[in-house]
Amino acid sequence: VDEDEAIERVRRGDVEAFRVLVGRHQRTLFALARCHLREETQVEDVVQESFVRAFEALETFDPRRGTFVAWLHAIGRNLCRDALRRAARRPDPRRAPPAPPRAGDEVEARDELGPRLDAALEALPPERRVAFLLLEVHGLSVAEAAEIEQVAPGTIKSRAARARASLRAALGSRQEAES
Amino acid sequence: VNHDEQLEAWIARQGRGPVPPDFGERVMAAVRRRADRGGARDWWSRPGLRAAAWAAAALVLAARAVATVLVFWARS
Repeated sequence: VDEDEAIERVRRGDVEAFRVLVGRHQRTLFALARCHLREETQVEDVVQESFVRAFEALETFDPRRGTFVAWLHAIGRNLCRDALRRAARRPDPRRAPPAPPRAGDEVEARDELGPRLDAALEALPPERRVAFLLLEVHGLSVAEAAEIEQVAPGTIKSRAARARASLRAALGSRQEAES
Repeated sequence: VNHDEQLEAWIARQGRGPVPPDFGERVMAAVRRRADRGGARDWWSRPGLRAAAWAAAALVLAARAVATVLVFWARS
């Protein structure tokens, strides 16, 4: 079933036609939510709520103002921001701080890179971080990421390349500091 | 030290796997629940019907206003 046809059928009251839209967009919506949220249960909640909100508001979707993909992912992005705001107001007391690495252990030394790269990733401008995560970590195509972020494919590629360069630089500065 | 290899190894550790297999069904169950709950107010969410309801209400109020003026005028 074509996406436009599925939207039209849902609008006419065929709830089951919404399954087509869920199946088609759940992978990219998961990728977007995983760019913003760490907890997998939070990711699932946000993606599910995004679909439910889209279902409820489908009457207001106007294809002349943008694609369904962009509209759906804008809902998801807003819900991620809401979830982050709620989490910031209520820090989870169960989450323990990471244990400090022990010196002299080769495996531990390799894992030291993780926190350093995590910090470098967090320090990136949000649009570069999201572009890098969508393409490199979550495996979306350039076209998919560009449609979600509502920018040209070239912009997505250059944002991801700049993010990668910043992360490489973070690794380089670490080695310089150690030598 | 090859930074690209280190970066690739870190990227590989970031992956969180595919979408859970039953996720689509869970979403559809939530959508069906919302559709059942929202059925009563569905008609109100349709822009055309909502506009028609407002127009009807405005017409009734206007008719009442005209009737009041006419009654007042007939008595005076």
